[in-house]
Amino acid sequence: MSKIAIKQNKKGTFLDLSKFDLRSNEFLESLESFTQDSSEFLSGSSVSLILPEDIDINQIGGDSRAIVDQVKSRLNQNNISIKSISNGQEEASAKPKTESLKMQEEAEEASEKEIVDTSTLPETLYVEANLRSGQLIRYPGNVFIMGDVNPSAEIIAAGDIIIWGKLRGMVHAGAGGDTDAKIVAMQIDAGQLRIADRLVEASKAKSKKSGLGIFTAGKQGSSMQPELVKIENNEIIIRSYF
Amino acid sequence: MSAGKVVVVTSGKGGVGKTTTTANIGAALAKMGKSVCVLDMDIGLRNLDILMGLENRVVYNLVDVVEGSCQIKQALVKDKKLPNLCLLAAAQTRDKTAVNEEQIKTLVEDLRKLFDFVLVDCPAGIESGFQNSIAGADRALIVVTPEMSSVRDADRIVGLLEARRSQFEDINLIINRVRPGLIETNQMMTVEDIQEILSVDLIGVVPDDEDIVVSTNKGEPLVLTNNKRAGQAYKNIASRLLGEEVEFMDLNKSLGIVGKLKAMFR
Repeated sequence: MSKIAIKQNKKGTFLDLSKFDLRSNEFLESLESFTQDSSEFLSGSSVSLILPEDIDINQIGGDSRAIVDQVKSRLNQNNISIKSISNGQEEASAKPKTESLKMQEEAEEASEKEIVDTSTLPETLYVEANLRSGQLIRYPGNVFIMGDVNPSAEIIAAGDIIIWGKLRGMVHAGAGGDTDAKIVAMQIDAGQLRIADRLVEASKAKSKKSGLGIFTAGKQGSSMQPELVKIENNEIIIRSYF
Repeated sequence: MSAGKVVVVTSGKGGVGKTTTTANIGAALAKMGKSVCVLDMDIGLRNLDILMGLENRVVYNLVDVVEGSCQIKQALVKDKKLPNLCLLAAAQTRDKTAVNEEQIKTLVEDLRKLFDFVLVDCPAGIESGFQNSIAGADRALIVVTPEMSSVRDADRIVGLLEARRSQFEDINLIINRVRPGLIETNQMMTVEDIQEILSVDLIGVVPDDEDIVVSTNKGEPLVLTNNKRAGQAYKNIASRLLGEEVEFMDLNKSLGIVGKLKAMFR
């Protein structure tokens, strides 16, 4: 059984189905194992499908439509939505025509839009509370927390994560693969930071900042400085927001 | 007599002093003239009877009451010194699944009618033992020690209690085993550090005290014999539970001049 490959580039996240015979049992098994292994990482995000070349994406009907619907519903169950559909003729890595494809389809009939969901990220989630140990927010968009994120609390968001408070828990911005996603917090004392498919130990990302962190938190008091986390030169960095 | 208050003593992490806290606050309240029942919910791993020195007097336990094998009043064990302090022991030969939330709610409602205060000693963890313990409570005391592991577990507990905020009149924090000497030299989390993370109202700070070990082995809550340090801290918590305004102790004072000097040179 071959695995469904996940490809990522500036245009987003792609699931490569082009090597499969979509009518075969093997494909169904691959889809099943994919949703079990990878769906958590992609949960809350939207992906584009790359179908085999022999399926005419401009006229998906009959058999193919049933298969696409099946894939769609399986992914939806795991909180993954489908952004667009293309076929193997346009390599995701080379030049994905998803943009033009989208526009083309927007002009088409409503029935076609059922398959091609062009919706962008939902509204930002606003939370006014302290996020405590063991609490988890998973959201397919940006997240704004008016409060602290405590040790071993988690936020997994497809977009940016802004914390108007102290970040001591685990946050994953751009969980769907968006390497432009960022994390902003009033103070970062987190153990681990994640953006897209990258991960870093916070202490290593800002070796400049010394001290025991938690032990001195009460004494630092007013020296709070907003900090920004993002990917620069393929590396997660932390720097002062201003 | 109006219905009493049900106060659950909980922490998430084990070994931070829940049972000691329950016994001492219970004894302190009883000494102040309130009628008090301390209820051991740690079914299968009971300890509260030992701390109170009542282990040889237990006949019936909580599970017997819940299962209807005896009346509540038969199962209540009176304290040796304080006639208005009672223990309802946990069953040692059973486990947490021997009771459910509904049964405990009913039990606690019955106890509420007999006492001014029902103190529930909650087992460690967040599973059924914890869920049962908080089932009928209207106040919660969260015991935490100045360690990151304890604070994280307490934070989890606060989250779980806040999810049922309407049930609780108050959720308060007790910081246990504080060692001013270590704080002075920056080797221990401060009271402020802990409060800053948990953001729960503080009701007491109890200094680390070796007399606790002695009193545990003697089966005599510290508050009955000791008016210094930990003993006084527990009394202060009891007073605050009764709604009195009591100033927080200056823990550095208890260090004494020698202790302060020691802390400086450590």
